Amino acid sequence: MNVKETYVFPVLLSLCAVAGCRREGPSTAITNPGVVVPQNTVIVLDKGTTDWTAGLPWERQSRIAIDRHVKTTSVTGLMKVEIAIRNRTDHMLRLDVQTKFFAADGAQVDESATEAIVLRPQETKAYSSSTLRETAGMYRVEIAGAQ
Amino acid sequence: MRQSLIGVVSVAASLLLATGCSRIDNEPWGDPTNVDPPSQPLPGCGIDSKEMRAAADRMARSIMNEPEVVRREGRPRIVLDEKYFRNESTQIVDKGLFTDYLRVDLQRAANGHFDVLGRNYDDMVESERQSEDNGDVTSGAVVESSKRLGWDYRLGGAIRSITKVVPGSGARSSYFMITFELVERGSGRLVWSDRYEFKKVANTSVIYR
Repeated sequence: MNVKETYVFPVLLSLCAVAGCRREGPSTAITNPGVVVPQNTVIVLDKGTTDWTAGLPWERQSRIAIDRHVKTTSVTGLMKVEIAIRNRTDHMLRLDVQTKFFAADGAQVDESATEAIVLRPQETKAYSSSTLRETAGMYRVEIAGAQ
Repeated sequence: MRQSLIGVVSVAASLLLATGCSRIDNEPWGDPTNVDPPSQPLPGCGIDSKEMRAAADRMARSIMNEPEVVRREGRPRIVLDEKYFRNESTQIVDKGLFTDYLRVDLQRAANGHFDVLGRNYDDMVESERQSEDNGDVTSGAVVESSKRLGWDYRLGGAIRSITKVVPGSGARSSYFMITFELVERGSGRLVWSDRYEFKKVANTSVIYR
């Protein structure tokens, strides 16, 4: 082994080690303002829990159906949301439901606590929530499989 | 010999360099781990944070929809504390979790419709008044001492339960009904009532502390 070979390997190793280092410090978050977040509707957060495959693999169906969702104003002038959730299956379903309320500019001003809802087979159950903030004008009900 | 020494030093330097570039990792890799407050990672048939939050939150929203409280002329004063909120259930529960959650939510939502009185701080207020009366402290810069405010409505309620246990197996079921009411001063009339109920079953027993 000559002197050249003695140096080449450690230097290459050093370069590899340096190249493998990540730059220290925070990185810029990914922003995607083009995405339209749905408002005044009901959304399902984890389709894996609420969807099931009927027959062929691409024939995915939702285990739940939202038969009705209406926005009203309570007697005290606060926005109120009422939805009807129907269990489309022949077994019990356990869901977590939460409502988020938004001002006219899209900023979130209030969110209800997550509530557990248990639906018997084919049962339809009403869920309602009202905001605590007078500035709320839009809502989004979020449904997920119970934790 | 000299070449070997140079080689060893070079390799050692490389290793040191590589070690110095290791990533700083602050992610939790074991317990304890932060979880979402309403989540229930451990089994249990009792009142958990999820039910506590759901019950108190629903009650706050229900009170805000009661015109006798929110739309009544004269800006009523409300006491929301645990003094008359009883735990009659089989589970040991910190009642203050419910009443504190409710009070904070309503205080933030009041927006001039009503006043929330901090009767749970009576000792603090009285202690300062006595110090002022004794001449130990001056009055406040912007708030004059006055009589404590009387309430128009006060929170009452109860936590009740039915619990079934299968002996020897650890399996159990629990039904809870939590009622909340606002009592009118003097008349004792209930101006608002609501309830939250749930039932849980589990195959393992846990101890709530």
